[in-house]
Amino acid sequence: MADLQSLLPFLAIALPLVLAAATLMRSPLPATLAPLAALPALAYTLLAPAGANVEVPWLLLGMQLGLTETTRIFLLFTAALWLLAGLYARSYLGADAPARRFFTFYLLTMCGNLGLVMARDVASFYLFFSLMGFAAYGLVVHDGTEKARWAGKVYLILVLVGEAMLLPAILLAVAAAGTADLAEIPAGVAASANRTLIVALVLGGFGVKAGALPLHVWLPLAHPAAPTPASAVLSGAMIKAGLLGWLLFLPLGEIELAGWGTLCVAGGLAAAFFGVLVGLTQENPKTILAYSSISQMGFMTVGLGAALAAPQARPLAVAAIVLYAAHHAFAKGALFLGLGVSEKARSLWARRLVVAGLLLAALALAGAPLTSGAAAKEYLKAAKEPLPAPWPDVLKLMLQIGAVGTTVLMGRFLVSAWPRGEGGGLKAGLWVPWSALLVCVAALVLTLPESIAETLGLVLSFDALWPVVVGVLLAGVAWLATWRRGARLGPAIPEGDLLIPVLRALDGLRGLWRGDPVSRWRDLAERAALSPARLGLGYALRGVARLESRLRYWAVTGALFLSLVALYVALIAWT
Amino acid sequence: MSLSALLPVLVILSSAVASTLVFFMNDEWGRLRTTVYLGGEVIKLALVLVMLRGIYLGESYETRIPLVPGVDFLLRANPLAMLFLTLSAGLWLLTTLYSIGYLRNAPHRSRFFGFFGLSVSATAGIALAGNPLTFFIFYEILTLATYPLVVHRDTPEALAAGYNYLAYTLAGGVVLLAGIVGLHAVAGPVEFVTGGALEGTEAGRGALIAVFALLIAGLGVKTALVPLHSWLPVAMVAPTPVSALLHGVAVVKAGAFGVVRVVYEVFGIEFSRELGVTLPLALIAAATIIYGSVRALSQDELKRMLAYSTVSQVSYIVLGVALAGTLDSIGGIVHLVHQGIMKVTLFFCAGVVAETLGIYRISEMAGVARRLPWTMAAFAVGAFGMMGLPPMAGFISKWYLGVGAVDAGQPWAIAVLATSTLLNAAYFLPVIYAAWLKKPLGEWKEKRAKTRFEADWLLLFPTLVLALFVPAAGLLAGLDFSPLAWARLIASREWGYEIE
Repeated sequence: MADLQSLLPFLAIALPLVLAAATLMRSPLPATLAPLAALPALAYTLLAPAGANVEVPWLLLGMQLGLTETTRIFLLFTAALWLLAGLYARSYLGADAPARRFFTFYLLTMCGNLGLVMARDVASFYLFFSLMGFAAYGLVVHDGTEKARWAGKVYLILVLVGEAMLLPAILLAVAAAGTADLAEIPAGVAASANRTLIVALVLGGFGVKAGALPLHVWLPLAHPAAPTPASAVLSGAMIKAGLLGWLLFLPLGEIELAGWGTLCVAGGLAAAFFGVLVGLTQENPKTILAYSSISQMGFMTVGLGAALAAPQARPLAVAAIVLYAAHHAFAKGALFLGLGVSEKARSLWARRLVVAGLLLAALALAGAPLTSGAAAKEYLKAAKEPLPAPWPDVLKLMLQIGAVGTTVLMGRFLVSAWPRGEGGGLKAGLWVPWSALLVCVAALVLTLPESIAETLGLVLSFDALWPVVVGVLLAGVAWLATWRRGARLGPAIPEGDLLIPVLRALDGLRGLWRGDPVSRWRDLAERAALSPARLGLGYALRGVARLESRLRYWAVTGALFLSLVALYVALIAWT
Repeated sequence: MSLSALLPVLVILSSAVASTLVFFMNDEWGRLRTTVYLGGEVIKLALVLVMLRGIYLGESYETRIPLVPGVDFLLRANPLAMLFLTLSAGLWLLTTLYSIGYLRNAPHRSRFFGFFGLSVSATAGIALAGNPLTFFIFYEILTLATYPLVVHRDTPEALAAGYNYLAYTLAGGVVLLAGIVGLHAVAGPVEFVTGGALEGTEAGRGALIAVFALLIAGLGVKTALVPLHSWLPVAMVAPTPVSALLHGVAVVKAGAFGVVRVVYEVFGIEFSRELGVTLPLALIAAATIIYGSVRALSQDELKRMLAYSTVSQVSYIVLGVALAGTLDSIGGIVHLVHQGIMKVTLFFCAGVVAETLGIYRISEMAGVARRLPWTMAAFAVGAFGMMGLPPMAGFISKWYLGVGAVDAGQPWAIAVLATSTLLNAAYFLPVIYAAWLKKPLGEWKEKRAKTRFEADWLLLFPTLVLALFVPAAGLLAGLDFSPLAWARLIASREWGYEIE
């Protein structure tokens, strides 16, 4: 316990917590040091022995921390992104009181995000996952604007929805595995009598974080609302926590779940295209990036589906997902951070360099040859091979069409993020972390396990080239036709897309929740009564309103109560 | 009489004597009253800790006084008794300090502290009672000793609530007595014993079920099981320390504790399951959990919301016991402690807000955290605990309840836990949101002279100390002296469960 290797993971968790507490004091020092809190985790990725967990039996339900081959890479890009985005934030936000508050939440969220990657037991994982989820609320609402509050509210409600699915999921999974050891969970879930339920709850619960359709609605609201460095970690690192949750809790490689696999593939593809199409209608570059994240997470979900559908696909699929996650974390982080740099670039050379940097990250995301994106897509294609006959070809085509879409979307992003030379000049605190992240984007492809020749083969294929070329051409056409004039492509879809009609539908029912159901019904009745043709309906509704006012005290609660009792009775009869 | 036979009596007497002395003191003799009272408390806590250590090391403490042939007055300490006893003795100390701050310059302080101490003495008796009759005696003393506390303010509203309280609890007592008599009739003299006292009984199934139903109905009033819960939200007119006593330390806990005794040590868990009485009990508990939370949603008065929350949370204990598995029973009895810590924290916070700013309603709480940051931080900690978020105490309870429910073949209970989590979030988060993120409605109406702390230090510090226990009980659950460790000890040593 005393050696450095086993102390590092605890230091990686404790340091952000201690600094977070210290930010409550008036001194600006803790906020200045905040980014460095990611360093112990970074060191741990390099030093940790694989498979050797450190256990502290008295902490929580016996906390175990450690790294597997998969989580080591997750920790690497997570810690790197938190470090660089933190350095960037220091310059972006300054060190005044609101900035100190920002760093309080930044550190708490970081602690959660790093901790969940290192956790090797379910309780600790859940602890850090919840910490990250709730603390990120502080990042989303940081600006304190009406828009930020609204985004925060939607985010928080979805976090709670996620929690409500996760809690049963982990309880069932732990009961099935007979242990809280994360390594035993997939086998336990595979053998559980409640397998279908657990898989559904895990997909839904982590799907909120991963931005899976239709639980993605918080993403396009939260990203533009949060300060830029927070958006970078949100999109780069935090949504990957949902992905990691899937990898840890689903019975991948244990059992063939063709139905769930197909659902994930279909859902992933739907998200991939949905993200691109809705993203293209957006004006705000951060919203465009948010939709791009939904789309990219869709591709990773496709890989997950392959592993669910075919156990033998698991090693390739997990490798593809991990590489894709790392690639997306760096590229998306670089795009977000670049946005803030772009706003400040004034001189011609600065603007040229900014465009070059943004272009590099955008091309990587699109999967252009020679980039990590091309390698990630090749990995993903390889993971499809073990699937039954029509799937590999269909998916290959789908992925390429998706890459075309991504390229067009990146074109849209570049147009909206183009430096206009209005800022106050570049600050080293902004461009240095950004450049470091760009180096990560460029260098990721060099870290692949394949030999250089094989890697070149991977990243220079025609398959990677043509979607990008087509995408660039399409984006060019779109630019000439519409974007150049500042016009929009397609209908105006509000940020949060599906949420808006759903909320409108719920609006009528909302009175049942906390407001006054009677007056709401009466309003409806009066509005209906205005038109003579609807007189009958008006009377009927007024009657309902009167009845409601008489019944309200016991009707709402009583009926709910009775139906719940009925539900339990039915459940018992069923079990 | 040896010391080991004397200790249980001394534990009860230490607080009872101090409280009785307090009755004879003038309201103005603050210093003397505090000295005697706190002295009694410290002695009691010390005795409890001595016994706790002894029990841990395997010693036994028993006081037996024959009343009539076959009926004994029996006090006996076992691990389960110690769990409840330590909780009540520890929380009593903090609650007393808080009460001193709360009642500064208020009338009838001697009366208040006297009955308060008697209530806690009765609770100690309930914890240590070794047979149903002894349990019943202290149970009724508790009812009578808490009544003057509920009506302490002497307002018409308080008197009405007190009447309601008495009507419910005395009726419950009568039913409980009927159950105990019935038990005596079908099975002869019964003591609380490991594994259940009714093993091998030849009594008829119907009679046993009827006795079980009577006992649970009698205990269910104090436990606030739906539909016997209505007294609890009404009784929140009492001063805040009394609410804390009712909700966290003594009254509802006495009911829940009685349920544990009946299921585990009178009927025995195996026998209860064979009788088929555990599933209905679990269903009632589940319904109560949901119902209490649903009702809490629509409350604007903070204390009333907390009261409905208690209705819901106390049934976790009953649910854990009634699911009749290993881990869920641990979750149930550990929640006895966890719920106490969390709920008393929340009530303390509500009291600080009310006593400092005169705010009683959630709708008036906008921006309160700007004026009372520490208090509202403690409130948030308690609320997160109630929601069962890690690393708070409530999470540990929920974890054991949930995993245990699946092990016991009753996974439906997880749906109840998840629903309850959501509902808890739905009524606690708006309070936290209003306090921290909304703008204050206007100038604060300070009720007391400002001090260098945000509120009276005797109100603030017990609150903060208690709030620290909420994450501590969760984070350090693996330690040997955590509530969880003690609950596991009960399950393995008393109930013979195998725990890895």
